[in-house]
Amino acid sequence: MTVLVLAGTGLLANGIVRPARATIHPTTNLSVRTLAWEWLGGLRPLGANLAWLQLQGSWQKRSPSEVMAWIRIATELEPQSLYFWVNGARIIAHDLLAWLSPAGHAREVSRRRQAGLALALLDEARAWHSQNPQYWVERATIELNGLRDDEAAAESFRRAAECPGAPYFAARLHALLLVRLGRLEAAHAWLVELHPTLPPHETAAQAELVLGRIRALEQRLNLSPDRCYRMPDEL
Amino acid sequence: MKPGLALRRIALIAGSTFREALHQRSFGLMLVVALGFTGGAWGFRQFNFGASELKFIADLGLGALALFGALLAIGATVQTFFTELEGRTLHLLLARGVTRGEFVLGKLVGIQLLLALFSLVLLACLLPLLWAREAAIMAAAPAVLFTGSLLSLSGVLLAAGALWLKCGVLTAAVLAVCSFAGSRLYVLVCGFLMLIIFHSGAILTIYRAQSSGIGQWVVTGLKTILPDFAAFDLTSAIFGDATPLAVTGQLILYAAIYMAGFSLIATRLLRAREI
Repeated sequence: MTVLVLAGTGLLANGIVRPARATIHPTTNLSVRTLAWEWLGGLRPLGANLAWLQLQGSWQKRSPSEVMAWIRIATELEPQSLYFWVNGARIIAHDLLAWLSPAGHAREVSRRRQAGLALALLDEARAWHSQNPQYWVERATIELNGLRDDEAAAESFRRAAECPGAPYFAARLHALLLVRLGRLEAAHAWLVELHPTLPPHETAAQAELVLGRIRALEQRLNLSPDRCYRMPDEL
Repeated sequence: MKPGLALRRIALIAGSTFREALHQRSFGLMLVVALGFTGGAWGFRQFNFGASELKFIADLGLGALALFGALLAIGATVQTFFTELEGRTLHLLLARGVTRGEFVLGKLVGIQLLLALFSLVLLACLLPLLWAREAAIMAAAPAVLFTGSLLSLSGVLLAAGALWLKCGVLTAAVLAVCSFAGSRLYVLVCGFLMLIIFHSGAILTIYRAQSSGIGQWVVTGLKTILPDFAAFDLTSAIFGDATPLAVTGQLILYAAIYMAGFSLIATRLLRAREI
């Protein structure tokens, strides 16, 4: 009887109310470990900050295992904060590599392994931060400097550039990497699409620089005048 | 049975429960610790790396309210219930015509009053802190950056109200366990486990997607039956995400259904118990 009452209560409550709640609490693709801290509620940020402080101590001791553990705890406690993901990934990709400091071919292998670990951490952050350009910029940086994977970095810079509030340099770096990959026409098309959207008087937007790169690409591609980019006021 | 008389008896039991719980050490302890966290947010913000300062303070204050409110709900319910049972005042009440349902409802209302007082005291500490920091941040920044308010004080009240409802559901569930349990320790442990399990709705969703066959049926059943405490997290309302009135109403209904369900179970189990 007790079970029946409980089942009835659950069916009634969840049947009536769940649809409205589902729209304000989407939980998809999150790790079980992250969700296991839910009961701490709003104290999670404090726990994450304390874990990050502990990480500083382990970092000074140069203990990779402890540092990894504290990064894991901080990110699980406060996954909404990009700070822990991005800085954790940087520590894994750069600091831990410097501590291991092997020479020659072994260093190359270590660099790739550490970059892989950093990217695996960032993969977990995607559920929370896929709309944050900083997330994609960090991915691109590690793919570029850690994995030496221009293709993946170009794609991440493109994703960053397409996020709302993206820094202007993300779009320029995407084009630069396309050039480096030999995809000149794709780079040209990207920059032609980008240029009209850049505010002419904003220094960070570098509209003149982008225009210069478009012209340089047109020369390298030997484009006929009708296929060259014309600015809106030239049309 | 006259409804007016029943309500009066419930009110008397609620008042007595409230007064008794108010004098418990656990209430004072929880209040001091929670106030320490809320007031300490001013100092803790020095160690804040991840979020904006106001969000950190609001999270910490409401986090203290949620966690220590839940622990208070468990502790005070167990304490007052077993005091009645062991002091044999429950026998006296039942002999005088109080029904088990009235007793359970009286306990629930009494603990809810206590939790309301707990929430109000914490809010009285948190709101001035948020207001002062918001004013300081806005004064320090150029006027063009901020127009209007950085946070919604009504959102803070809404989020705190939702947490109060959550504690109410937990209180009712703990009362259901109290009604058949033999020892305080057993109920305390069960109460804490329920607090964790009721927060596991999202984990059950993941397991449901990953499992198949009987496992999937079991997980689906659990997910359907158990309350999902994630629904009571309205902290996004603090920073301008308007929570529709309908959602607030549905949340109240959701909590009320579970409180009624657990109270009914507690009444039934108490009736079957040898007193």
